[in-house]
Amino acid sequence: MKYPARSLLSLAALSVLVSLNTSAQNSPPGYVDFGKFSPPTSGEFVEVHIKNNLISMAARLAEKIEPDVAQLLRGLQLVRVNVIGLNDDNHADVEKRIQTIRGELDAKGWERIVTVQKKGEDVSVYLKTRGEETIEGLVVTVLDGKREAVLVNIVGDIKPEKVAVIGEKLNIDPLKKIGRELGKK
Amino acid sequence: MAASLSILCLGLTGCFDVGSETQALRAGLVKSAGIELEPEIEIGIGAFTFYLAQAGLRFLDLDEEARIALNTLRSGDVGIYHVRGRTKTSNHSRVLASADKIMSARGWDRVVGVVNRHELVAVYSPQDSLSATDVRLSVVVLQGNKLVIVSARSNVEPLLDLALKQSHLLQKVP
Repeated sequence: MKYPARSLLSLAALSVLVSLNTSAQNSPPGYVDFGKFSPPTSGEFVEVHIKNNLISMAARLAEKIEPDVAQLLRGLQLVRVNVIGLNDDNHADVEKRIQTIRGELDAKGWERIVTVQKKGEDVSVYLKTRGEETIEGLVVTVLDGKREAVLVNIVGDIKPEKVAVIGEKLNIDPLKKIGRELGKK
Repeated sequence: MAASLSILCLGLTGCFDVGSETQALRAGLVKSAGIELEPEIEIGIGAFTFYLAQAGLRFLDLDEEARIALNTLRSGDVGIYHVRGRTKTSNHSRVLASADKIMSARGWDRVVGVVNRHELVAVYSPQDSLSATDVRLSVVVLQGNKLVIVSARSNVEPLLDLALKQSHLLQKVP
């Protein structure tokens, strides 16, 4: 059975559109692509990227010791942390990338709940919420003078009152403070 | 006779060959990161050899904790290599990028990466890691002129139960 060329072209175009739409939908709403960072020529570089398969495993293991933490972990889909040591070679580029990320988050409707600029430290915390009771994504960006830059993205179903717990467990100071404030609301 | 020889060959094979991830990393880093490696130690213990060892442990009088810890291991291998020439911090980026590429092609993600002036540490886990009863990890450490690659496969649940039991016992100590 022969198909007209026009039908085949239409099918091919439709397939491309469907696959593009699918790939766009694959990233959860709270996910932010920071891009790739390379280790600097001098200074610290730390990258942690834990996806839902390992988080689920950790939740099952934590169930026996800390059921509350296990429940918190089950709501998470991804934890990404980047710590980049700054030097003369990379400082301008990293700072520009962080400003770009912040601009994109503002443009996409993320709520900036904290902006702190003092003593050479520049901290911003963004939330992506679903309704009033759930946080789908959380981004923390820190420029610590000319020492280091820190980026954190946590994705999942996060209750506002649990943000401080995440901050405690992952040792992220801005989250500990914000979590306490969010928990009071 | 043939069966005995087969078992002996399998056991020997399990004893000396490092696993495929370690082999891939070793070969890949030499090729793509351009580093020269001199093997110092390479030892792999495969699943079959571990099974035989665990079967043999039943006849030994071991502490329960030691027995549990040894029984959780399914396979493991270690490769320790001397890196020829002077390793610079800039090598660390190249080694990390090469290791990422090698492991990504094998369906493994980097979970943790740490690079500083003195060392590089990278931990990889399979993308389809789902079960606490079958945890696989590969670790690459480059420090000075020493490269260490460790891969292990284990059931961590009994270890967790053991840790939990120990913590309860400690709580009872005045």
